[in-house]
Amino acid sequence: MTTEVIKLQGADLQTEEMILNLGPQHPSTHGVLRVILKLDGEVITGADLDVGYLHRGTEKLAENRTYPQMLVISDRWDYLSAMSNNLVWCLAVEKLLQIQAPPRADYLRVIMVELNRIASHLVFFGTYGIDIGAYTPFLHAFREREKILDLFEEVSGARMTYNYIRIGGVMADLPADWIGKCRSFLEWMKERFPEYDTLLTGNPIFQDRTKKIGVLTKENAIAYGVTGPNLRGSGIKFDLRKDEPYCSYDKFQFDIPVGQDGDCWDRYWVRMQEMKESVKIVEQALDGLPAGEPNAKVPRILRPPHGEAYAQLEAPRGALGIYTISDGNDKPYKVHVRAPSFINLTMLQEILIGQKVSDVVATLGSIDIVLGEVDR
Amino acid sequence: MTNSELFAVIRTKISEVSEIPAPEAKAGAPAHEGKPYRDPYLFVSCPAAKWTDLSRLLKEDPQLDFDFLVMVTAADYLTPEPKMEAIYHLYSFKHRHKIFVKIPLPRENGSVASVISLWKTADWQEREVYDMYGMKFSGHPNMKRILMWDGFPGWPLRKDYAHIPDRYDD
Repeated sequence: MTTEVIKLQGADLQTEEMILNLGPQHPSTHGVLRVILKLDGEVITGADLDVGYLHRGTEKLAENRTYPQMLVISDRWDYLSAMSNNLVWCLAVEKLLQIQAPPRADYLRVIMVELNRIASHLVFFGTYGIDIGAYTPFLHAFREREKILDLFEEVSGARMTYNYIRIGGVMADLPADWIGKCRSFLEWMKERFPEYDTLLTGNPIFQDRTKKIGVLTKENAIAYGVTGPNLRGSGIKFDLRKDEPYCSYDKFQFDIPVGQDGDCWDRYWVRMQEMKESVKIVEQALDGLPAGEPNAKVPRILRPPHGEAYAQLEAPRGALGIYTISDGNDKPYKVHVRAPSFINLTMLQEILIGQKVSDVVATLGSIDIVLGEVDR
Repeated sequence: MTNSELFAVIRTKISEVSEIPAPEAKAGAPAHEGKPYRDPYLFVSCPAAKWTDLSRLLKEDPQLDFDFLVMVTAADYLTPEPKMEAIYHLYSFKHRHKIFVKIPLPRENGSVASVISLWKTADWQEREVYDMYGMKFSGHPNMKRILMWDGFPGWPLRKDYAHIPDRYDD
């Protein structure tokens, strides 16, 4: 009898921290990521992230490969937007070589990168729905993405690892009537956005699961070096396409969607709006596609003079950068990949604290990481 | 601000910092090698002992206001003399200027102050540099390997790294 009374008063209640492993093999981690959660009841008091399961030593591989050979490996960083990876490597090498891609190549690059941005955000849209518990958006998203991959297959011969954007230009000019197919896809795509809004954006359960969840403040976003839609979701209007235009992005009219609160909902909303802006950019690029050669004159064996270059661009996941040092040989002396997923993921260890377990997957999904790029 | 104005602001506060001149073509180099390239930003060299002061100045001085740490990396050199460099790339959202800071270190037991208290993004990036090059970041609360596993032999991105064959080689 007496013990029961004491228990009711809570005097000898033993409470202890619980450790919960999320991953490394778990569908909601979008790859092989392990999150070690410390729980007090249902509230998270600490989150340790364990990455590196997919590490392939890109930077070491780069030191043993010639500049064009490295292009093939760049496809494998962020395999959902391989065009951006190709492009940033080419921009870095073109800086070292001090060559300029012709205007037609610039436009073709913009078309490919923006189509790839739509495809990448579609994967986010689909998988984020699954994370939250809605399966249908995934099927819609992959149906649309399939059409983009078909377009890519026609120009490059590959569906994921394109190797299309080459140093000094692109692999080949567009095939016949590709522009028509691309235009009809864009028209079709525009009508899908309202569908997405009815499927997921306007769903009250989805909104409840994402609004005011995983809030990343402006100050934290900057301190953690967050870039891309995650940074814009926190209300900072920074986009390398506008702020430091490359590949003639300054010739296109488009808006930069910006969120307000920095929660999961804002990060989601920014990506949905970005797809619409990308459609606008591709349309303008198709309209204004200049005639001429799609390739600059590039020597057969590339030996950039000694020097160093930092090239960066706005990939679907943030600012993707390449820092490379050349010592005058045909292989780079040093390569560093500034991978946006890797740097964006750092913030997770802070914004998870104080949340409930059920919000972990919603928060992790909203950062939109690709583990191939985190681990490189 | 132009590069020289930026450097003047830094130099008045910390005199040990020196500007790294743009690389020049080697004397007698054949014409096909072309002119060396470097991005048109300010590159400074800072002794490791002064990095704490310099990083605080770069972050907190209102004229400089480098609030965004873009990347941290390192480079390893065996010739002409063996040395390593920690490389920090900073950006200012307010003033839109950029700087590269290089900190020369000895190859063995090199140590540089961590900037995690100023830029939280340094957490993982400095761990990655430690993982790949073996330079220590003093003051970092969790200085252990991040991409490679604990107990991995050697520092993979060093130029004298030799691969030890293991069961994955066949």
